[in-house]
Amino acid sequence: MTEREFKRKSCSTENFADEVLEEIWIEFENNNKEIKPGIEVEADQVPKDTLNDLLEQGYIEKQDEKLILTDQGFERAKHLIRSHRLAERLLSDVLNFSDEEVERTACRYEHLLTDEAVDSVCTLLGHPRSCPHGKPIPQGRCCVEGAVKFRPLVVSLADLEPGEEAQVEYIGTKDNTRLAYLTSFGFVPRRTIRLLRKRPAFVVAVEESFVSLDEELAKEIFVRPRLTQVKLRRKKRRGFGWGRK
Amino acid sequence: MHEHVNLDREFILANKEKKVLLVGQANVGKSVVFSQLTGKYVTVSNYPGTTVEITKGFGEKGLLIIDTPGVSGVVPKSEDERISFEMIANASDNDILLHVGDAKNFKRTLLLALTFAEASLPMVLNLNMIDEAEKRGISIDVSRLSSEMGIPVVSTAAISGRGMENLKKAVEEPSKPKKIVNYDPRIELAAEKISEILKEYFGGRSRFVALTLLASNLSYVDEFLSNLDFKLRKEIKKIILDTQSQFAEPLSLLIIQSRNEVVERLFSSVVLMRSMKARLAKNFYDPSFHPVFGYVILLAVLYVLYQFVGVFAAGTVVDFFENVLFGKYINPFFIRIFQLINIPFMTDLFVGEYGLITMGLTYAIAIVFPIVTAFFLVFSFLEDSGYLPRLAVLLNRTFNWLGLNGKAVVPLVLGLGCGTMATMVTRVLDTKKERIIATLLLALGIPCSAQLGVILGFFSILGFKALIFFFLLLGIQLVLVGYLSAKIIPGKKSAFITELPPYRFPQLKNIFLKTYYRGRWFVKEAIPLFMLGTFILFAADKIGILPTFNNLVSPIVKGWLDLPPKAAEAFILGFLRRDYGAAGLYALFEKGMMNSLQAFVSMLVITLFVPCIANFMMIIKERGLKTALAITGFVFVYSFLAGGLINKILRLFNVSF
Repeated sequence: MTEREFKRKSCSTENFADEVLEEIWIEFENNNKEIKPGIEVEADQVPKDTLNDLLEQGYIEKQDEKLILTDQGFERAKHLIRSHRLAERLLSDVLNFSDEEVERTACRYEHLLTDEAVDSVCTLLGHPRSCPHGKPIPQGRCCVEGAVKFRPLVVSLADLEPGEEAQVEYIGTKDNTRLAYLTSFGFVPRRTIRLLRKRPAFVVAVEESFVSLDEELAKEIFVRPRLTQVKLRRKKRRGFGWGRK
Repeated sequence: MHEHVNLDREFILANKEKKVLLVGQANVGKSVVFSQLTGKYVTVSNYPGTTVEITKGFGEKGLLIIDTPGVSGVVPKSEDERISFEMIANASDNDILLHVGDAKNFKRTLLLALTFAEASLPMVLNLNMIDEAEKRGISIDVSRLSSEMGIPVVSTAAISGRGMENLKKAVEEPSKPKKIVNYDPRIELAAEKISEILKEYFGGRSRFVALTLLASNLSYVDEFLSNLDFKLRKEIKKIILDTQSQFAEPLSLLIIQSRNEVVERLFSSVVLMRSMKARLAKNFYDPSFHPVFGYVILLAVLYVLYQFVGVFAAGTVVDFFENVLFGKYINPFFIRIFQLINIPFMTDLFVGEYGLITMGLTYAIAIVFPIVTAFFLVFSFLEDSGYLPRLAVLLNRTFNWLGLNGKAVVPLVLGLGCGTMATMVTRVLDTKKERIIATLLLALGIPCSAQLGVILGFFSILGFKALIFFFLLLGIQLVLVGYLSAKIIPGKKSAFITELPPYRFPQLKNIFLKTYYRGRWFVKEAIPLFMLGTFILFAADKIGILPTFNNLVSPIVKGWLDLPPKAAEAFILGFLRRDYGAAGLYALFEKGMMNSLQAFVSMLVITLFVPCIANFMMIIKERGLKTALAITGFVFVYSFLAGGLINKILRLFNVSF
């Protein structure tokens, strides 16, 4: 794309290099190509001015006549995409921004957040897998470690306490049969449920019926607990009781 | 007329006849609706899998109505659900889809309705159990819903007949649903592409099939389209994979979410709740879940079972049938007839020692039938009351050890009634591994009620403590074998999830009808096999093989099991007729040819011994010949091995009863 088109698209007036890296990542995604260090970047993906910048910062290098994405470039692009999409999630899910507002604001976040800040947001949101547009969010170390440092906004059903009401956010499994299983019992996103007991198995109130499931399945259902006053019995408080009274 | 795939299922009819397909979840009163529409009742139950057989009937105007196995979600997850999906896929353009759903669980019902709507068939939505919804303050604007969806919507309380007239009228005038679900354009495109490929096979149902396949695991694509050309299947799979790669979330979830948006919209415009605040139940107290009380209840249930089946049926009723009915009237009558005819071979065949009437029929009708029927009565009561799912929950963790989950409660408990039927019911388990383990445990150590009758008779002499010890030993072995087979057999355990329906006091009419159907099944399926078994015995006796068998087996019986050689005969009989084997041993004990320790060991071995011929046939049918032989072989060896080991150990410690 031309230099002008490009500057129009980006939200920041400074970090064109960042923007280009993001565009590269998105291009590869759209074409269903795997993104990793060492892949070749098309010359027309990189506007001329920015190319020097990218070369200087070590994000791209020249091999023979080709442009190659370096390790650094890969990591930086990944970080940017991750921050952007997590920010989108945060703004739209938690702060209820409109689609437009999300677009405008998320774009800035990615340049401001450090790795740690991003991981914190990720943990807060319960390590979501995709942005509101359905695009995948690259995983960070926190996702791999399944970090639950303080009680995230989104937890698995297994982590709820009996009596708590919550809204289903997403289902963790990717296996279609399991998904069909769970959704057929009413565990669909945006459905409100209440956990009633955990022993001898989980019992959940869904709509007008009671469903019982084992812990294994409960771990796959991710919910957002209602931030209301809840009678908690003998519960060990972990970290902040975020939003709990 | 388009070609059909998967025509080798017995219950898919010739396509020309117009039919009504009853679809929907299990436990929503679908079978009751069926019986109301056809005037012929069908088994109703609280958990998936009992209505495994397809039931057909005719409506008032001669319309063919077919009840399909309960479907729980947008994609089939078990064999009988797959059958339902296939039936819809193979329906012709003028077939009618009657979706029976639970009115009070509106969202869940609507999600399914929108799934069925993709089949583009004339359709009727029946919101059943409307009385339960009303009791909870839920009211549904049925006409509004009908106009939104473009199909007739009728609310009913089928069990009392309420609304049935309206439903019958609606079925005569169904209409094709409007297209109200909007999928992501990429998914829509994929659905269209796949539809195109399948058009010549599924005609107007191609879209339904396409969306189902997009939401399924790839292995299902192969299964569902197994009769399709390999290249076409590959093409379809490629489209699915390509589409999936464009999204981070699984396609099934995205498809469900699109449908759900419509569900939510319909819910808010059509459903009125007495209190509009979300009023999910706040607690769930149930004594059957109590860590202690729950097991007390279970023991109470088992005790009732024992009293009714073991004492009353196995004792009183069988006595009457065997000694009075057959003993005084039927058998002598036939003996006289055959004496008159005076052909020795015929006499022997029918009324001899292994006679078809004196042994086969007597055994089947006088002994086994009353016991099994009594068991079915109690079992049907438990089903309808809503207790069984709770039992499943209670035992779920224990079953996990055996590589099973709570769902296995149904076949395993049924095994106490009739192992053959129980083996058939293992179909409801989700994975092959679980089905094999359940079948194995049934074949190995779950005594059927006929056998239990004899065992209990035995232990009424040996003593209660001996009985407890016996069951403990049995139980431990079952757990051990289950545990080991779970480790050895490859495959995953399936996750456990079940609905807990409200406790309902069972309707006696239901119970009797269910028992009737099960009893009828038993007469049709099991009794002929008992007759066959008797005949084989007769033949073996005539040819003179029996003593040979005896001699082959007796070294093991004598040396390893320390039992009298005659016991070998009882074991062989045990294959052909479980009860007869046990009874044979009982006879030896009575005559003083075995002491109490030998009696104990013999009981153990006969319980562990190979499944009876009827069960064996069923295992072949359900699991295949290879698996059947493997299981039987293992059980055969194991029963002698374990029996002998226990025998030696007991002798070592000089145990007596």
